[in-house]
Amino acid sequence: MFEPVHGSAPDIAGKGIANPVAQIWSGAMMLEHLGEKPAAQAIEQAIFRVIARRDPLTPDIGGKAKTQDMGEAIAAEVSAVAAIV
Amino acid sequence: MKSYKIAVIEGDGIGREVVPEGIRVLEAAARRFGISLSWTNFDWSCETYLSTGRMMPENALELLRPFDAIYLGAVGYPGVPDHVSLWGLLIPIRRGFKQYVNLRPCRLLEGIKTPLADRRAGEIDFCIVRENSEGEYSEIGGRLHRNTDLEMAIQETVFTRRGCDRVISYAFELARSRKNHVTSATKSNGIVFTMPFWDERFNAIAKTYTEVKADQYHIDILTAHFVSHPDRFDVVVGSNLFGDILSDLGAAVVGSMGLAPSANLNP
Repeated sequence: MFEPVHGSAPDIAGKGIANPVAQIWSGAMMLEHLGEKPAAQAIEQAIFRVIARRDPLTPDIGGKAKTQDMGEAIAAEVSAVAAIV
Repeated sequence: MKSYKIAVIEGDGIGREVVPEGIRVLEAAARRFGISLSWTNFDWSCETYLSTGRMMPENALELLRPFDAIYLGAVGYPGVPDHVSLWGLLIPIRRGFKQYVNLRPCRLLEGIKTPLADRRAGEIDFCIVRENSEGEYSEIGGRLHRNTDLEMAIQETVFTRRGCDRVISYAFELARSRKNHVTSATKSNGIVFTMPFWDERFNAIAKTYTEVKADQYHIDILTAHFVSHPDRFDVVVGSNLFGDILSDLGAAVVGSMGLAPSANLNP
């Protein structure tokens, strides 16, 4: 079972501002566990790249983006990274 | 094409918001790497508890068994006590599938501000290996003389040789693929039966990994070192309770709870 360390955060639930990185990264750990290491690494690298360029970021790490914006940006990076491999 | 069946439990609160983003990214990776992922949603949450009296159905583990992995968001909701969501869902799944390792990486990323001064990306990169099936989180104990001045509560801690050995061995194996260093969280000066036993098992297993550096700290000073010297750690192994506390501290040290992933494994 793969899950973020954080809880359900009722104080910010429904606002669409939760940071999705812990959830996405947990997904990368799931792929690694399933034996899909290159795919797992591509997700980790995509997370690191989006955070390093600081755009888009959710409010907890100093940005103004929504949960979905960050998810979409990381997904786009995954597609771009994998194209080079 | 390799295909995997994933059970999804979004749960409550922001779990419902972050899980779809996780699936979005995993699907992008699956497309690029020629993997097929099929997702099956299970609507198990505190809301389910409020309407049915159970976090998940009685045959939940049987329903989950055919899947290759479980992808969980978060459970917990105001009005439902936390022990209900923990003992009604998380712990039955972790224990039912013998997921005795809870692995929690803590890494300071480029672009993230840590609350610690003068720490740069790459300096903090350690993994917490938490015992996930026994220890302090036991169902052994009870209460007596409720609501009188003789009221009392007892909760037993359970450390088994098998339980200690397998999680400590996992920590050493993990360290071999990282920086060859394992730190044990203990408290054998104050807790005089279980923790000395944990130390004995740690030392016995450490002897079989001569190439891995092994050290141990009492949990009190270890929490201080997490703040003062987080760069010293590689793999930190601890009991259920100590590992739980250390992993939230670790997440805070690397900048945000929102960046901390975890895996419950049955290696």
